Amino acid sequence: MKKFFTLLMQELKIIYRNHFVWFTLFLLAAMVIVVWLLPSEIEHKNSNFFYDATQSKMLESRLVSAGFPQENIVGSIEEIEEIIKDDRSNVGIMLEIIDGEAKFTVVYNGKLLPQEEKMIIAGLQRMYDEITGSEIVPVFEMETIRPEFKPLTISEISIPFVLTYETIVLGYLFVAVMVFLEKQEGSIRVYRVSPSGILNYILAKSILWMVLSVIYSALLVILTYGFNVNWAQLLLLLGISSLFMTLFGLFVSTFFNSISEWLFVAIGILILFSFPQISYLSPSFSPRWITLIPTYPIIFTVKDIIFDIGREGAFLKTMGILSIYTVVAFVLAYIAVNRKLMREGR
Amino acid sequence: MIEVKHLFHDYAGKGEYAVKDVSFAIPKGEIFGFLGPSGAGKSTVQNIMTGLLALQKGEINYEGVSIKKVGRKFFNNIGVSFEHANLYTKLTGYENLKYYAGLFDVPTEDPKKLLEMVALADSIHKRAGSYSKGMKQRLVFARALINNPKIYFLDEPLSGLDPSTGSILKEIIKSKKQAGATIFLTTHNMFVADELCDTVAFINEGKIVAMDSPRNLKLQYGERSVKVEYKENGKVKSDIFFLDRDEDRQAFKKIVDTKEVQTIHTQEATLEQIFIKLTGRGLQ
Repeated sequence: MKKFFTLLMQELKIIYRNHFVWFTLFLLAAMVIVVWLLPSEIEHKNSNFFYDATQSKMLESRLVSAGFPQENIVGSIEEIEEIIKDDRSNVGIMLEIIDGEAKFTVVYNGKLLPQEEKMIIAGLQRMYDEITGSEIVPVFEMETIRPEFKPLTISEISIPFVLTYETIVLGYLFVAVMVFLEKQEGSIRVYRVSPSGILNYILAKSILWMVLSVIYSALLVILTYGFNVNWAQLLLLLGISSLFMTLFGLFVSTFFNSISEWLFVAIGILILFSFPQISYLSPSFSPRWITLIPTYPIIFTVKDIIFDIGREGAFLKTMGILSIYTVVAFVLAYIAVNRKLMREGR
Repeated sequence: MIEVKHLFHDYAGKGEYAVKDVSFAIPKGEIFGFLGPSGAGKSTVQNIMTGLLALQKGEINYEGVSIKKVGRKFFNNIGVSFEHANLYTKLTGYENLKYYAGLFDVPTEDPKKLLEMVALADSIHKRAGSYSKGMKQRLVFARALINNPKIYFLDEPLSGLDPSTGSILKEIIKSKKQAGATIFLTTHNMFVADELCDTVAFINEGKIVAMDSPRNLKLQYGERSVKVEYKENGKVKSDIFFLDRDEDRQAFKKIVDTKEVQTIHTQEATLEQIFIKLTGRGLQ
């Protein structure tokens, strides 16, 4: 353990001296600003339209008291259907009491993923709980009037993929930069003639970047979304994602002698890893090969956690998949470091 | 005892050997000098001996144990000083030693003490990247001492150092020998080898061309002659006498017996002259 902590402290000091902190703070500020700016562009238009069919108008009065725009509260279900037909981004919500039981009907224009439906239902349930002061579960009914529909706002969409890619990119890129720095300075040769070994070398680098990436991501979530997420799940998921990508980045970097040689391949891999964004933005496009890219389960599970969608077993399944990917990446990194970094020549 | 037997190394795997049938043995507590020009194969041999390069053909044994079987613990017992200053440039001199010390399983030296020994006490908290070439060389040397090793591999340890600093390092090397360490010294500086080494091996184009103590090499390959300065009729004269010739021996004796001799110097060959004689090229 002494060797591991020695290396960890050494790595930390080197990245500090290489102004990593300032770079990360700049990156964090840039991302926060980007995410902050996104919702403001669409705030002028509220795409949710409500029709309160109850006698007490409890939903309507709640919305009015909460400052909800009056023009988004309509007088009939027909009105809602007209509004939704005109604009595919609109969602209509009707509340009625049938046989003493509350029922929400959500009308949308297109197709929703199960988790998106759950997100809407969870929001309405919360609102209903606040109105009634009880935890009675109302009936929810989903109705679609036309295919192709994306109910999420830009800000909601952006947070999971910003979070996913920012987290994985940090370790993936910077661990390689550290390796090239050691090659350039020749300090890797000194390490080779120490008794410390490959395991400590890999662990010190990957765990350091995992921790830094998780801290970075946590700050990003707090500054863009707030504290109301399942932190245990989010940090575990981002931690293992970063660990996997750092190990994978270490593996890739061992095959190149300089940053310039490595850059094209590294960016090519990042582009490949960004393909699941397409599926994320257009859920109907999810071919099998895209689902095998490690970032695919990460981005969707981050979304689940952030929006508290709570797909049953999804988190554990993703953690299981990522654990397998991480073990494979570790084995590859170990072999590559042993053959490429800890030896010279043939 | 370190034994190297019939060592070969081929970087490209095309039958072009950078090291060809190199064999030698270094008894415990001796300084073994490996002399040769750049590209002769000195560093290749050292790199195979330290495990940096894979052993392709031949044998290397440490106290009878093959380098293939020594494991990572072996590195607790060796100290390596590289020719090129390979330091963490963003870390200070002190940090370079402190963090390196943390990688060993054996008691390590105090980094401050080592930096003082190599005359870097004033720059202890300066970043290694700001050091001059000579300072970096001393820091690399100090790092090789951190684990108080039993075997040292010193690749051009005095390269680029001024005579005063060089003599400090030479004294440290001598003191390590006195303490029982075995030292493998790679250099192209014949004076360093002559002064420090018990045995030197000349390597050229991957082959050892001669190996013995510096004294024996000089005796074997040099011409035994003396230069005598003496006074005659109020003037200082000098003559060289080759002692293998009868007439010169008699002339030399006559001068010593009859003249006022001021200086007598032996005229043995330098190691560099011997190297040139053997290989037809210089050590630089």
